[in-house]
Amino acid sequence: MTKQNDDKSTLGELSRVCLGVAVLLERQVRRGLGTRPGRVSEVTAVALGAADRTAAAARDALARGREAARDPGGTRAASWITRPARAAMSRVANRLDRLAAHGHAVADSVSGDAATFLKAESDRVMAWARINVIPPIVDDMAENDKIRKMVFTQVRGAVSDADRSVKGVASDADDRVEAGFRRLLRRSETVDDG
Amino acid sequence: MTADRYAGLVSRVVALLIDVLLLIVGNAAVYLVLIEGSGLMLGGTPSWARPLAGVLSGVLPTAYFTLAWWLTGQTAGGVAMGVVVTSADGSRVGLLRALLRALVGLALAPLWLIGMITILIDGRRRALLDMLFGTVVTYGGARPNPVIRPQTG
Repeated sequence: MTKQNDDKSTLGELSRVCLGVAVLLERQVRRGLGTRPGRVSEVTAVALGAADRTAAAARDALARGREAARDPGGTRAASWITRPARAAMSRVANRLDRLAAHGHAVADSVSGDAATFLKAESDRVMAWARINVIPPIVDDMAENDKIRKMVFTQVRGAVSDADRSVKGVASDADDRVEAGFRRLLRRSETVDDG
Repeated sequence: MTADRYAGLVSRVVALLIDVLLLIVGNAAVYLVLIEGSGLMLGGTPSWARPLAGVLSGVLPTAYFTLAWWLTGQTAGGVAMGVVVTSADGSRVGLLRALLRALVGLALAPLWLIGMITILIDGRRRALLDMLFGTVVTYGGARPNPVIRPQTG
């Protein structure tokens, strides 16, 4: 019995997480539509647009129904005849309002749960990968002869480049110093002659 | 051999500085191994350790320069800066000449340094030590920037 309850609660949690992920995705897509329209496919955009229009039409119809329920118009007889219908419409409208509010609350709740769940899972997976995946990969890379050869070649190339650069700079400096010294000598000779 | 192949003052001074640094490290290593090492291994520094360290640290620079110039023409600093000591005709420096060059250079170290001034005025960029022992210092191996010096009168 307890196991069955556990299974049900697990199933419930899973469905909440799935719903939450869907809500998060939907919000992400909406954010994408608002900021970068190019990032969302045409099909998604059309589906979201249709859903939005449908929701808007439903809201409009609901508002009209409410208006009609509040202001039946016409004579007292007409008002008396339509009263049960208006009362029924009013109840339906109130129920729909409560349903919508409940839906918003559920959406907020499950999206929060899903975000927490996804963060916890990603942290757990990253911790697992740090311990079980990355060290073997690093070991494999460190022991791989091909990679070691590549690293050695790169280091040797860098050292060789640096060596050539130093020698080139020193060689240039040799000539500059010598040229400067010769200019100095010539100048002093000129001064002596003058 | 064209004058462009002779090593100039900066390359040679930097090469010498590298050698001096290496010798300082080498001397420190000699003292560390002989005095501190024997102290640790034998439980106290033996009486012969200090004189031996002194002799070795005195011999080390001479041996270093002599062997380097005799065997390859290049000290470690020379390898780093790409300069080679050869005879004036381009042949390898002999053992005796290398030894004398090292002894005189180290014994008269200030003369070695001041004598480098002549590199700036000599056609073959020879220092005083080179003139004394008939050696020249050239750029060894491939140089990245072949220098085309203007013809001076």
